[in-house]
Amino acid sequence: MAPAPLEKRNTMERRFACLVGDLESGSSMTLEWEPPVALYRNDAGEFYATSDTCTHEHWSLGEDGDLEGNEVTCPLHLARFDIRTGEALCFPATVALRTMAVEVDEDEKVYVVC
Amino acid sequence: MDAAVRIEPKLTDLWLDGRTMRVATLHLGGVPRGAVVLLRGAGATGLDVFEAMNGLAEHGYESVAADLAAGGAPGDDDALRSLEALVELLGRRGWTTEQIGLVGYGPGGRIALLAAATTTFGAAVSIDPDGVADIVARAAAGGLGMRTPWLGMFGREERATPARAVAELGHALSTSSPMYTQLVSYPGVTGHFYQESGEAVAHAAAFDSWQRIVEWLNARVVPRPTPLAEAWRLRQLMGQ
Repeated sequence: MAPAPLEKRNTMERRFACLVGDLESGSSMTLEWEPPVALYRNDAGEFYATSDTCTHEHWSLGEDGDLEGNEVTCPLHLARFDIRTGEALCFPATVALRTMAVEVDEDEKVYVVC
Repeated sequence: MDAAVRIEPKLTDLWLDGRTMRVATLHLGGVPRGAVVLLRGAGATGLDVFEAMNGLAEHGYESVAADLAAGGAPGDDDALRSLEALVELLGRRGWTTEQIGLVGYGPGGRIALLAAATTTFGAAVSIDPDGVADIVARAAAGGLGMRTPWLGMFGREERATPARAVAELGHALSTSSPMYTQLVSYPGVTGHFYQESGEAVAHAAAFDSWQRIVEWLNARVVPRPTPLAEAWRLRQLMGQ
């Protein structure tokens, strides 16, 4: 039986997240969108965004994750992810986080493309 | 994966395009949950196929298994024809494609993925599939719209499938395929992560990967109705 045609979700939207000054270097926040997005600012001041929920067990990385360099650690079971690629770096996580592009404009507004 | 009662699969030779393919078959009594085609190849060393078939039988799956590399490494087309023959074997037992899951290791994983892109099976799982770069190129060109839910599992330390290629495959499939796909990457292990090992990380990967295979099949392979379910369906039809 042929599968029912499904519409692909390929539409991307540029959404305002925060101002640069709203997020200190070395910290992260959760954007309460549907689905929620974790926004990180590393020690070098660069912004990255991933899906907010740890792929191992339901927990917010943006709110509770421990950001160190370019790695975020989920406090629940200590799964680590690379915020640049979403890659799961150690057990118990084995599924990568979804990553999203981040844009900062001249007015220091931070946008996430998702 | 240890089976309480070990069933010895039946071995037969299947003639196919002038070559012989040795097929292992494990049939179950009663009303089996579903059927699985197990594909392996030369790269999938250390895999105990009979053990895997018994492990699947514990969850109610009949299975057929074949080594795609027997008699020389076949091309994709030959291997897909071999798969067709195996599916036909299951068809003779009354299994429809939605009631069949594909589980492939190494070269078999590649064939499971390619077949999942052309046919609607219940579910497909590829363990350390071969030729990921080539598949990424096909998917990126839009030539790999999946028709079967597919789970890919990889070992992070496997040189043949670097993490970047796996990430590209995930991205290509998520943008080119309407069907649900998932990629799992095990840190600290090579592509042979499915082999049981005393080492902690390798043991965790082997355990987790087997759990994921079974859960992927259980969640997606359409179960064969039991006689009671069939009787209920008939009653519903007659009542209308």
